[in-house]
Amino acid sequence: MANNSKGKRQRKIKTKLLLLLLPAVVVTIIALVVISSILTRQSLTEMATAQLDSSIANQSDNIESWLSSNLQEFSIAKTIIEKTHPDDAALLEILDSTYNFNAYCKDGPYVATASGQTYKAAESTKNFGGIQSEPWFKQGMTRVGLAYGSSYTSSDGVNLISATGLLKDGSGEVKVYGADLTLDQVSTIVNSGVKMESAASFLVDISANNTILAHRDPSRVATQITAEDSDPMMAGIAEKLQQRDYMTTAIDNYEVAFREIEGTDWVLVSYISNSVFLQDVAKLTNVLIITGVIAVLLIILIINLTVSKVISPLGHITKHITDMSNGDFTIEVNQESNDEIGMMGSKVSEFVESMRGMLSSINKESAKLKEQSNNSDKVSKSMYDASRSQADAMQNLNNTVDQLAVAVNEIAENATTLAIVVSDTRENSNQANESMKETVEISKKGRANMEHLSVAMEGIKNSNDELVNSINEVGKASEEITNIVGLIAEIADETNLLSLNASIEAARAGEAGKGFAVVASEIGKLAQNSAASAENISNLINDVGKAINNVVSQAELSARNIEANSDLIHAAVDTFDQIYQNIEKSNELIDLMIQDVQKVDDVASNVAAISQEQAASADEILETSHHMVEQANNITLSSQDVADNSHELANTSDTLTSYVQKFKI
Amino acid sequence: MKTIKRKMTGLLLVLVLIMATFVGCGGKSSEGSGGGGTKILMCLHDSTDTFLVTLTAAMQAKAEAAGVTLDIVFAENSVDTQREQIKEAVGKYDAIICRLADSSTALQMEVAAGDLPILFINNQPDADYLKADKYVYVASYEQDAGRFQAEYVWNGLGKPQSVNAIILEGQKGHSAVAPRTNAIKYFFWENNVDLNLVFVDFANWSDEEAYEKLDVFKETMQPFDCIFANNDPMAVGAIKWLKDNGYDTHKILVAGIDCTKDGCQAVIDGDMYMTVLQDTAGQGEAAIEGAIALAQGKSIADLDGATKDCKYIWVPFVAVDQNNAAQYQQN
Repeated sequence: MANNSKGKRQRKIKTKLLLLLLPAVVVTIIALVVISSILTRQSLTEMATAQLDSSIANQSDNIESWLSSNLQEFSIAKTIIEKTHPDDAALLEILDSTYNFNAYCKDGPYVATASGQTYKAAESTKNFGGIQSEPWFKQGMTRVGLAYGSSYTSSDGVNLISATGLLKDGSGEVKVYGADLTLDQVSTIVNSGVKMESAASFLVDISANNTILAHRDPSRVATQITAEDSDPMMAGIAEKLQQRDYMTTAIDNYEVAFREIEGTDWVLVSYISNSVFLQDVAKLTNVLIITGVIAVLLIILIINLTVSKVISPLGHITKHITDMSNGDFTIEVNQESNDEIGMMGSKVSEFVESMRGMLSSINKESAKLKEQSNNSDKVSKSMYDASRSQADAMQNLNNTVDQLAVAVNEIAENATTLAIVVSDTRENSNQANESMKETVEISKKGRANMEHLSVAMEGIKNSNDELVNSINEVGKASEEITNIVGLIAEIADETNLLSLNASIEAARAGEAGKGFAVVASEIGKLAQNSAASAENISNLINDVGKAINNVVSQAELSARNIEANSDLIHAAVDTFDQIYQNIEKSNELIDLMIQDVQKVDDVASNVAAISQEQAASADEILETSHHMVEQANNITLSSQDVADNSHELANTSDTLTSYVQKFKI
Repeated sequence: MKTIKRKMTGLLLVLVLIMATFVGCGGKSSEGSGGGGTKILMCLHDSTDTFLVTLTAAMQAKAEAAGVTLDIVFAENSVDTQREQIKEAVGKYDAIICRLADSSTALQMEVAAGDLPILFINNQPDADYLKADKYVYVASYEQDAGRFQAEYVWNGLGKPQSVNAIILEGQKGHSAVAPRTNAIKYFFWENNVDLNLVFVDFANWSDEEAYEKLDVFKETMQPFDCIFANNDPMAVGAIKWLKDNGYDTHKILVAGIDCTKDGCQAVIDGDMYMTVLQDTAGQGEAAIEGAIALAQGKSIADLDGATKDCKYIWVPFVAVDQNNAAQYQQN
């Protein structure tokens, strides 16, 4: 079991470390490989270009110097001829002596005139042909200084270039001096002069439609390089030549460099396949990848070994810790290494040592503790019993006092009730007294009112008498008016008679009395009207007289009625007087009764107060005994707690002892 | 969790490495030019060279316009003096414009300049000593000169299918000779003209030597339509020879290069068909522009006339014929 878990843990740490480190290592190595490949590719391409540049520069320099050294050698004979102005024999001698002067010039220098005269060394195999139509002769006519012309095929079928120039010997005749070099020789120089491994070069004469002068492939020599070439690189080169773009460039997986050869219309072309140097990149990349893989494997191995070695002491420590967790402290830990893990081992060892000491002292202490707790358990038990009996006694006492208190309380309550009843009675009789007094007041008021009424009745009777008198006066006045009206009626009758007389008199007078007759008739009418009015008034006054007689008889009737009422009122006043006297008597009786009730109330109050005091004292006694019971109970509880605690203490020390005894020390 | 974190860190590291690899290759940027505070030293070989006087005037104007400081020192044809002047410039200037006293001492000057970029003018150092955006040659594109000559003369002759031509070359081995001469040939070849070079020889820039060489040529009795000279003096010599030998200079067309006083006069007189002028002012401006760019650590790639390899800034030539000769006539 312990071994199993240990193995598991070891695997875990290793796996964790591998999982953490491996991706980082792998990514780093991949990045390194990629970056180095890219950088190598870049720098190798740059290097190859630079190398190609330097190679072609070197080669072109070589070709230039080869050409110019040849040219100088050829010039020597030309200069001698120009300086010495030789005759034909001397000229041939000079040509003979300079034959083989230049190793590359198989036919030696020669001279030809426009007229067809030719001169060459005795050993020379130069075939002059038709002079004027010969390319070399034409070329020679175009310059004084010796220079190379374009390539051409001689009448012998050999590809040549000739260094030619006009011979300025002062003869006045056009003479061309020349010396030939074969293209094969130029090819040899070009092909052997390549300074860069795997690079190749060829020479193109751009003045002759890009004729190839020198090439590794002999079949290419003396052919033209065109943009239609089947080889895309050659086609590309032809295009560049056409554009006169001589910058080093990449064409169809080749790096191509161009260089013009000074003093000629030639362009040297040098090229190298990318694959040559990219092969190195591929090789390097492969090596890097293999190295990377090996490095990863090595790292896995190293991590494995290192981790195993580092964590092996951990195994022992783990075992010891497992033992410790099982309670075994008899183990011995050995310090195996001087690193953190070794330190851990020694610290565990120290820990085990101190644990052992600690456990044994705990053991001892717990034994002592158990003893002590047992003792205190006993003491608390006896104390509990004692307090228990005391509490019971107290309880008895308490009950007795309780009963006493109840009895006293009952007495007090009864006395109080009595006092209350008496008090209520007194209250009631007081109220009766009040009511009586109110009744007396009311009856007094009633009597006064009755008296007032009687006085009023007297007033009314007097007024009625006055009224009768006044009406009688009016009767007298209306009789006088009747007299006056009779007088008026008499006057009116007399007036009417007068008017009749007047009318008669007027009628006698005739015309003169006509006016008077009118007045007399008017007065007659007036008198008649007055008589009618007087009669009316007389009638009216008669009516008034009748009315007055009625009123007088009515007033007399009223006077008799008032007198009757007055008598009744007097009788009521007497009745009120009697009632009042009766009430006065009752009132006095009630007052007496109230005084008696007061006395009873005083006595009852006294009794209540006394019995209440007794009840209060009984309550106090009860309270005290209650208190005492409570305290006795508290003591019982406390002693119970003490007993429980000491019991628990005893249990704890038992448990402690059992725990400690589990450890092996 | 921790594992993932570690893995991520690892991956990140790898990515950063890879990025660094790629980014390291191309970090050159080219923003708008403008040279506030830039200081440029111009080292010239000779204070008496009229070509350079014209050049410096153009450069001063350009420098002022661009807001850069341009100081000029003269080495009086001494390589040692020039080296000392360049050495002292280190730490004080941002770029050097140099007319080498001796074209073969370019490397020595580059060493003396330390990290400072150098723009060579007028005297061409060997191509091997030029370096992209560091050691740059500013000049007229020699091939243009030859091309202008061929183009003008061919047109002047009425674009014939066949041309018999004489070429008078300068000095054997001189850097300007081959480009100028080749450009003539290339032009005719490209236009499918049958170019018959009846005479091609060096006359060492000299009118007398040109005359002598033509005298020798005379003996060959070959017909010819035109004479191309690598410079004006040789063209002037050729004109003299033509006249002395009874040729009509209006029928035999002569082309020169450089637009010298005599050459320009010959063009005006109608004896020389055309000449080609180096755009001195253009060269000066191009040199200043290039110097500002390099001083600020930028590339010259975006400048007019800069080659792909960032080693040359070519300033075009100007063709001069009777139409415009008067405006280039020197006093």
